[in-house]
This record gives sequence, structure tokens and C-alpha cells, in this order.
Amino acid sequence: MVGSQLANASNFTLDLAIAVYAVAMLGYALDLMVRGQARVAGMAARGAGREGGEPAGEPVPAEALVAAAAPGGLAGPASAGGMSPADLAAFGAEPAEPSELADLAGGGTDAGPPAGLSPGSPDPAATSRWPGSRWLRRAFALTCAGLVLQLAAMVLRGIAEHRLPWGNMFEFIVAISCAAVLALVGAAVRFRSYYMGLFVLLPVVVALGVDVTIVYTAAGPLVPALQSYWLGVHVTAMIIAMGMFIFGAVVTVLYLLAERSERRAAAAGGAGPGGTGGILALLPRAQALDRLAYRAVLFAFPAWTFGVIAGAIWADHAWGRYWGWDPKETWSFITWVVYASFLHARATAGWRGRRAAVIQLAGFACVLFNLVGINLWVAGLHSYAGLH
Amino acid sequence: MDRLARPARRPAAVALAACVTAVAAASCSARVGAANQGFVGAGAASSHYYPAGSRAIAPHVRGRTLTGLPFSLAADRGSVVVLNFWGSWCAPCRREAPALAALARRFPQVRFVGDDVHDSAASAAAFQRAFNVGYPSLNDPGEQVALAFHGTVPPQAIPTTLVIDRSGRIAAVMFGEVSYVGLRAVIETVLRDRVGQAAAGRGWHGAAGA
Amino acid sequence: MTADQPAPAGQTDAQVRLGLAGWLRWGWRQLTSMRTALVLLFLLALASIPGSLLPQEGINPQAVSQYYAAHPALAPFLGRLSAFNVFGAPWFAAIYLLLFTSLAGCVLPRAFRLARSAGQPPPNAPRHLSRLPHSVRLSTPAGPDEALACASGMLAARRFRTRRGDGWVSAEKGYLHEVGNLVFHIALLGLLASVALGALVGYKGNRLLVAGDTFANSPTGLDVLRPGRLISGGDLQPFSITLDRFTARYVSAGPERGQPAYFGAALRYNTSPGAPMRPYNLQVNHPLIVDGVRVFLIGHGYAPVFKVTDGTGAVVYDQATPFIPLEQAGLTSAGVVKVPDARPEGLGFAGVFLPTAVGVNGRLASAFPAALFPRVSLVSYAGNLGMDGGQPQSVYNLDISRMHQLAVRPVPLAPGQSITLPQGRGKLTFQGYRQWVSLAITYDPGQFPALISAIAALAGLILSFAVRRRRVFIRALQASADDELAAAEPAPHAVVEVAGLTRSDAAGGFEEEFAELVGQLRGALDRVAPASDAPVLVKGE
Repeated sequence: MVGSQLANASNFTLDLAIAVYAVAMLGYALDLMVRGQARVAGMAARGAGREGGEPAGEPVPAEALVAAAAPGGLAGPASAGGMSPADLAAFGAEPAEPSELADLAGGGTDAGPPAGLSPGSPDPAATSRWPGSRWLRRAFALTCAGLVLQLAAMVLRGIAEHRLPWGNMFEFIVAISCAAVLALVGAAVRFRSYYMGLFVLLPVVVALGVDVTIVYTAAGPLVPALQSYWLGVHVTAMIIAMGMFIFGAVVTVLYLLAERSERRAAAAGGAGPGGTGGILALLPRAQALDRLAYRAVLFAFPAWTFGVIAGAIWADHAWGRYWGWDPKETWSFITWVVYASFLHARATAGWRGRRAAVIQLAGFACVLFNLVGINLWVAGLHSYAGLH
Repeated sequence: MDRLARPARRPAAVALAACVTAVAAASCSARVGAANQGFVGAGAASSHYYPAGSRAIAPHVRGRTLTGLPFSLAADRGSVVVLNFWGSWCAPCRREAPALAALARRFPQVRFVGDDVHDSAASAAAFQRAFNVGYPSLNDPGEQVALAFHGTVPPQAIPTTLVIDRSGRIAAVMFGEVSYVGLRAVIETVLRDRVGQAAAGRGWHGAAGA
Repeated sequence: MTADQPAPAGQTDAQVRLGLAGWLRWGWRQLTSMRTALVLLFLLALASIPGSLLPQEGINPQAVSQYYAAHPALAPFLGRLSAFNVFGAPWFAAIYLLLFTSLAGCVLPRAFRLARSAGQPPPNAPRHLSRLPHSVRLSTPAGPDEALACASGMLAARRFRTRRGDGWVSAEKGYLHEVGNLVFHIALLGLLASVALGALVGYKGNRLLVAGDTFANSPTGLDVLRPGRLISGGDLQPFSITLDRFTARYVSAGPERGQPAYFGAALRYNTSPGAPMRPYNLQVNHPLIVDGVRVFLIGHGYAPVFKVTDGTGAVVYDQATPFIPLEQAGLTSAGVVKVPDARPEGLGFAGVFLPTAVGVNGRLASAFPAALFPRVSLVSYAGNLGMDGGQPQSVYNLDISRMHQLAVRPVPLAPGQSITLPQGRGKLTFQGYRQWVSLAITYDPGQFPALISAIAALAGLILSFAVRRRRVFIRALQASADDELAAAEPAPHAVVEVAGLTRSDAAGGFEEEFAELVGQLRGALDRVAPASDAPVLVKGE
């Protein structure tokens, strides 16, 4: 029995969530605008006296830090575009790790200065968990509100259908976009990556918009043959992993853009007052984005592995074989292999950076194909006979 | 450098072992079964002849014939038995049926018995009438007689023909459709067997390979 | 590239031999390098793609045949390349074999290195701690030795392995990272071995069993047998199963009307011929386990019972004929009846069985999957069924190329009704129906090891991501007069430098741990030697 009232309430809540996300996007955009203006003003005020005309978000030179050192850590240049020390710390002050091949030999030899040394750790007391900028705070709050609404929509639909609300393409897209926003919020709180809000919400809102208009399916029952708690475990894991993969892919795209513009700036001499321009100037430097994308995969990859294993256990329960090279299984495997090669690339000299980022995007393309292509196109070939 | 060279041999050996295991697995794929989806009667045609000293004892085969009469293989101890597993639905069985019927008429001293699997008595009777099969067949819809051969020479496909010698041991097996000439040669060889008797005294040295 | 020394001029043979060994060593090092692993991983992913887009023989042979029919020029070429059996193809095997060889060759030496180095103490502290990525200098009223003892105790309490030296403490933690990494990769090897085991000594089979019938688990008893490489007919466990009754219940009202509510197959089975039969109620997702073999219920359908009398009046066909469902909603099923030995000519019938027959716009359809109103509708043929030529035929397909249709209208028959064939060819009577179940029989001794390997791999993966290997060094010196810090506080006794280094900080967060360590050390130093009013100055660099 499908509760149509609950289903309608679910639809309404989902639409509300989309609206809230849209407003949150406005908030992020406003934040970028405000910071952009402040940065331009700040650069004009600084003039050419500052070395390199570094925009806000670049690591503050060590001397400046030491000079301004006070108990309590970084103050940062006052004209750093109206950013709070918390934001500054988040953006560029993470120390670079030494390359993995460097190791400390014993016996009194010194470790050479690691490449890319950045100013030392900020005093953690000075950096808070929450964004400092006003519009960023509001936008983030709206994002969280939208997330709650979207979760509520899913719960309502699940109650209406008496089953887990992940039974058709419409519900998959809702769940996966929810997982992407969850990844955004989680990463923001954990890694202080609030700036990703606009870029992640954009595809989420677009996907949800397409979903509720074109792909929409009314609430209904699931074929009981698929009802098994293993299905819940398996699909949940895949959805969470996919949400994190989406987040990682968006960060990777930003990374590639940032890296390209940094490369061009370096090639152009690097001393121009523009430096890296546009929106990219308001984002962390490429290396921080790269690390954030890496962390996203570090979380998603075990989740995907777990999902594949759970799927194999479920397949064995239902069909008597734990792996049959069914197209869905095969593409899950391919996705796993591509992301595994991404992780290997990160550990291989010459493959970090841009090449690894491309591999991550290739992996994400596999995720998309697995979700869309297999369900809509290849599955139509009835690759799974069932009967003999 | 050298420090790396030595450990390289150990993992190389391990890897080789893994390779050997996996190579064998790698070339495994769907065998006859894949071609058999919904298809019946396919099987690799092959035959084996077991020399006198290395024959397995045939299991105790008993049951009811298609006409309802009781049948027991043990009762035929002392004569050569040809046991043919067949079904009226099986195309190769239909192709070999004339040969079997003719050989049964040619060798009256040999006991021909069929084992009709996965079939109904009516279809089997119609088959026997159509191909003029003079010998009886066991009614074995649940393949229990075939299963009885599990420990010795199990039928790998339908049709399978077993030739059992005078002392109740399995002398030869043919998987797949048999030909008149081929089966006749095997029957004649087994007939010449003098299992358990001194071959020198009779001038024979056991049977030649089929 | 290698450490080989060039052979003396006169020994050309030795030079050649060394050259070969040198080449092999070079080749091995290339194979086990990360770059090769990357390339092989790419190849593995690429090679799997055609296996998902083209029909595969192991999954759906009918689709392969259809592909051959639809692409007569391209299909044989693809078939030679094993494109319809990608995952069993030799080139696919070569890729994963090389990958696993590379993996083993890289991982096993690392495992030995880890075992060796796990026993070693942490290294000496470097001289210039300020050059490390995380470093901090503290001053404390405590003396250098006291400060070091305090630091050493604090680190030991946090389960670092510590080592004291002259004026320094060196601490290390996080071997579990490498342990996890190695466990993951070795577990993958275990997974491969488990899959290989199943492929060698495992087997899968299918059998369609009509209610009332018995089947034996043997090559002749199974409809389809996919044996492992080392499996021959005699290796199959000799159990037998009788299907007494199949019960299916469907939702009879409401929006879910027609959905299956319950499937149960009442079986009896024994483990060897002649052994007593034991009962079992087989349901979907609840397999029967007999002798280590699992029997799954994966499908069901109807088998209408027909009796055919031929032109001479003899009964030439009298059995339940399995019909295959065309759709799941009403279980409309299609099938054929083959009577090759009817006289004067062989007979064949093809048609549909409708469990709950209703007329919809002049056509027959089945409105409900239970047999509430069973009807069967058959088209009749006479002629040569083509079975005598020896070519195997599907029992579900009727080859009418050498038959002619009989002039009998295919009216829907109720149970008990008959079709009388023209020209005195005989009669077909629809006597009723039985149900059949489709069973999947699987035996895979490698399945449980594969599960253990997979879980171990996941555990190793999470461990290696969550744990970071880090080292912390602490140096304590007597404060000297010209030290900046010395000027800030009356008579400090020691200046303590703390530095941290992390290797493979995959998950990040070492700076927080480092900051926490520093805070804890400050607190501990304060307790050991309470400062005067002036705060302890922390200088970060």
C-alpha cells in the first residue's frame, strides 16, 4: 500500500530542498563576489611593493608570519581581502608533506628541506571549524538545511513505499545527489573546504532538476525477488561511494583549472599583478585542491570496495555465484581498477598531479557509465538470463 | 643492487607457482555446457577401451523395463552386455538407433539393454517401434541407473554406450553417437576376451585396443 | 643498471651469461615497478570493457547466437579474438597474470623488509630539527634531561616506540600502515587463488525439474553443466532430488496484485543412490546444501500435460511438457511438443499456455500468474522434425522447415479437451498441468576463501588509509644566553625542539596530531617544572 499523501509530501520536500540549494548557490556566489571585490581592493592598496602580488590564498611568506607572530598564531596581512585567519589557514597553510621517497636515514644525517616547504603549522587555536566569511556561513547553513530536507524527502518516500527508497532511476539520482551534498558538508567540516559549495551544488541542482522533471517515477513497490537486506547494504555503500566520487570529480576539475592557470602564470614570469585570476584566485592553490580530491577518493575507494563485496555476497545468496561478469558487475570492477590506478599514480613519480587527476576523471566517467549507461542501455540486452 | 637481486628469486618462485595455478584456471571456460543450454544430445564423441586387467566392476543395475518387467544386470553374468543410455528426445540417439538395433540382431549372444532417461514410457515405446529396436530398455526417468555408474565410468552425455564383459566388468565406453562399424569392432574384441582364463592356454593374449 | 661487474676480457661466455641474467633482472625490475603496475591496471580496465558490451557465452549464449546472426561478417572475426568469452580469453589471462606477478614481486620483498625493520628501533634524531615540515621550539624551566624524560614518557604513553640518545628522543609509530598495505595486496593474491580454485574444482549446473520427477546430479542429469577444468563426470557429488510439489502464492488484491508473495519447492533428496530420502522446503534465497553443493531455486513455470495418440491409435506421447514463461506478470508461457515417432508422420505442436486466460481485444492473454483459468493454444504441424539427422536440437524449439501446418484452428483448450487432427492423424489431449522449478546447482570450494580474502583486503585497505607512519624527534639543550628564547623568560633551563615527520600521510591530519602532541608536552613540562608567571613561549617556524 503506497501512502500517496506521504509520497506527495516527499515530492514537495524534495522540491523545497532544490529551492534551498539554489538559494545556497546564490549565497556562495555572493561570497565569491564579495571576496573578489575585497581582493581587488586589497591588491590595489598593496600596489607593487608586495612581492609577487600574491593574491589571497597563496601561502603567506615565512618572514611575514614570524614578524607578526604573537601568541595565538597567525594574524596574516591585514589587507588579505577581508578573510579571517581561519580561512587563510584553511587555504594555504597546510604544510606540504615530503615526497614519499624521502626518508630519514639514521645516524645524524640531516633531512634536506623538503620541497615546497610552506610556512609551518598554524596554531590550531586560531583556526576554527566554521567559515569566517559571512556569506559563506549563510550559504553553508542553507546547504545543510537543504540536505536535511532532501534526507527527509527520501525518508518520507521510503515510508510511503514500505521499502528502501532506492528502487528506480529517479530514486537513485535523488539518493546519489544527497550523498554528494553529504560529502560536501562532511568534507567542509573535516577539511574546511567550504569553498566547494558552489561547484558541487551546481551539478546536484541540475541533476535533481532533470530528475524531478524528466526521470520522475511515482512511488511504487519493488519486485520482491530483489528484497533482501543485502540489497540495502550493497546499494547504500555504492550510493555513499558515488557521492564521494562526485565530490572528488568536481574538486579535480577545479584542480585542473587551477593547475593550468598556475602553470601559465609561472610561465608568464609570475610577477605580474594578476597572478592567477578570476574565481580561481579566490580558491586555494592547486596543491590543496589536489590533496582534497585525493582525500575524497581515499574515503570513497574503500566504500566502493565494500559495496562490490556486499554485492558479490548478495549475488551469491540469490543466484548461487558471487561473480558472473554481468555488465553491472564488470563496470563496477572497471571503476574499481581505474580508481586503484589513480591511487597507484599518486604514488608514482611523474604521475602525480595532472596525470593522476585525469585518471580520477576517467574513473568518474566509469561511475557515470555504470549508473546511466548500464541501467538504460546495456541492460536492455537482457544480459542476465536467469532461466536456462 | 645485489641486496635486491637475492629476494627477487623468492618472489619469482612464488609468482611462478601462482602463474601455474592461474594459467590452468585461465583457460577454463564454459565447456560443453554452454553449448547445451536448452540443447540436448551434444557431447564430445570419444571412446575408451579398458584392457583386461584394469576394468572396473559394473555396478548392480536393476530396475523395470519400459513394459514394466523387472530387470537385473547381475542375471546376465556370463554374457557380454551392451548398455546404451538414450532418450527419444535425443537426436544423436535417433541417429545411432538403427546401428544398435542391427547389431543387436547380429550378435544374439550379446545382451543389449537400453536405459531410457528423462523420457516418458509412451514416447520411448514409439521410438522403439519406429526404429525396430528388439531389445528392452530400462525406464529410468530419474537417471538413477546412470548415477549408479558414478564411481566407475559415469556417462558423460546422452547417448553413452557401455560394453560390459562376461565377468561383469566395464570393458569399453563410448560417449556420443556410435557407428555400426565402431561398435561392432568393440563387441567383437570383448567377445574374444577370455577374462580370468590363462591367455596362453587359449592362444590369445587378451584383447587388442579398440 | 645492475651491479654486475664487467667480465674479464677473455671470458666472453661469462659475459653473455651475465648479460642474460642482467637482462632478466632488469626485466623483473621493470615488471615490478609502479609504472608497469599502472599500465597493467589500465589494460585490465580496458580489456574488461568489451566483456560488458558484447554478449558473452558464459552468461547468455542465445544472445551470442543472435549476434552472429545479426552480424554475419563481423561476428566470426570477433569470435576468433575471443570477444564473446573475454574473461576466459588467453589475452585477458595474460594481463591479470602479469599484474599479479608484478604485485607479488613488489609486495613480497616489501613484506620481508617490513618484517626486518619492524624489529629495529627508531633512527637517530637529525641535527637540524627546524628543517622538518612540522617543528616547534619550547622553553621550559626544567632541565634538558628532565624534559627529555618527560617527553619520552609522554610519547611512550601514546604508544610510540621511543629511543633515547644523547640529548634527543626519537619516536616512531604507525607500522600498521604498511601492514595494512601489504595485507591488502596479499589478500588480492589470495582472492586470485580462491577464484582459481573454484574454476579448477568447482562446477555449476542447471536443471529444470517438473513436479513429480527426480533428477540425479550427474552430467546426464543436468541440463547444463559448466565444470571446472579438473572436473569430470565422476567428480560430481551423486545426490538426487525429487520435486514433490511446488507452491506459489501471489498477491491477489490491491495495487500489488500478481506480485509473487511466496515460492516454496517441497523436495526430497538423498546424498547417494539408494540412500534414504530426506525432505527439504526449498525457497528463493534459501538454498539446499547437500554434500557441500548448493542448490538454488531460481525460477518456476508451468508444464502442461499432453497425451498424443497417433494415426494407428497408439499413445505416442504422454508427459508433462515444460513451457517457458515469456513474461512474469501473468506467466504466459510458450513451448513445443515433439512427437517424432507418430505414424504416419511425425507431429509437432507449438503454442502458449495461459494460467489465467482472458480475452483482451480479441487476443488471449494471462491476467494472473496462478493457474486460475488455464488454457493452452497450439498450432499443429506434421512432417519430419529433423531429429534423425543427429544434430542436437533445443527441446524448446520446433524446426518446422520440413513440416507442414495442419488445418486445425488453434483454439484454446481447457483441461480435458482435445484437438482432433485432420486426415486421421490422431489426437492431442490437454490433460492438465504440473509446475516445474528451475534449479541452479553450484559447487565452489573457493567461495569461502574468496570471501575471507575480500574481507582481509578491505580491512588492509582501511588500515593503510587510516594509519600514517610518523616519526617525532625531540632535542633538548641547555638554554644558551644568546638564544632568543632565553631573553624572554628569566633563567630558562632548557630549550626543547620538537619536530615531526610523516611518511605517506594519506588521510592527512598529522598537523593536528602534532599540535596535540606539542600541547600535551607543554602541559607535561608545566607539571614537571611549574613555570613562573611568564608563559612558555612557543615559537613556530
